Amino acid sequence: MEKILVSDQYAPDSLSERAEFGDINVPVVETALQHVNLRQVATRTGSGHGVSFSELPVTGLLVLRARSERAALQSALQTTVNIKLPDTLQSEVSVSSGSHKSVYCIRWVAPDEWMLSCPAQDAFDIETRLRSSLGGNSVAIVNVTGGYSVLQLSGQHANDVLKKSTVYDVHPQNFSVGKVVNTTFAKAQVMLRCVSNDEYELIVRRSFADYVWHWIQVASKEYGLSVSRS
Amino acid sequence: MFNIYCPYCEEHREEEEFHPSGQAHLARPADADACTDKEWGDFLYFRKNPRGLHQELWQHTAGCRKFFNITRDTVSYQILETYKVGQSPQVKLPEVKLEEPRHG
Repeated sequence: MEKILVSDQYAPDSLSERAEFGDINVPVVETALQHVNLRQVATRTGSGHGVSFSELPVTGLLVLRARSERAALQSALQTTVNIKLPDTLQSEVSVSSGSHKSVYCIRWVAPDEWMLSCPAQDAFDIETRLRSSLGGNSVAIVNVTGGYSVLQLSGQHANDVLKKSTVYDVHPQNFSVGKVVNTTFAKAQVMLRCVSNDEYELIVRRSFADYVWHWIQVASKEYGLSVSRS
Repeated sequence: MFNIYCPYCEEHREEEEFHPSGQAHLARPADADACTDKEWGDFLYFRKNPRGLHQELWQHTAGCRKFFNITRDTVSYQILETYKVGQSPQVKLPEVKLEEPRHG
């Protein structure tokens, strides 16, 4: 798994890199909505609508679990990606200071579980560094990159679409910037994060991505939906 | 629809996110090899079905996925308390003389 090639539907030329590897056995990772060709849809829809939708390029996702060895995980995260464990129902974001700015985000899932997102190409590297930094501590790290799709909803009516779709109270008073909740979205399960005012991130199971995409199209029809390139 | 307080997420959540898992505080016979068939049968199959206060095990399936306990009134559906697994309930249940379950 050291070498993976991430297909980016927003930049289809990236697939030609595959030839540069000269190895057809290099796995190509595609997003769940690759087949929808959102890039083409985006050119048709334009902008200036009430709701804007995008699917993020393949995002590296690591599930971290620790009970009594929480402090060890905390320090390993600090040294590896310079991020601290978030409080209950909160998230933390850090941006690497190197030449290419990588964004890391860790989300609270349960008292002993967190989900860390990172650029897909770095997931294996971060996992390896976390493991070596943790030593013999019993902390579980599972790479679930392939299991989820990361979607983004924004715009002045994004909150209204959420109100129709989830049972959670998404009023800004209750669902403030940085808050993460695991809840239901229509009939699917979602990890919902408030990125900024009127900007939300949905992490859904890959097999539900099509369903959620169709739901969002219908639910946002009255406000006007535009598909944006992330 | 009603809201249930999840002791792990530390806030009220919609009922839809939860799943009930039956009676709470089921004690497995300490020595399963030495217990009688009746003790084992009671542990496996026989559950309370009270009219009134009941202690139940619930799971926050769509949220943090943790199990926790609820003291609930089965008549009014009122939830008197929720508490983590391993903690003791604060609300005491009334003593109910149960009819001896039939075996055989």
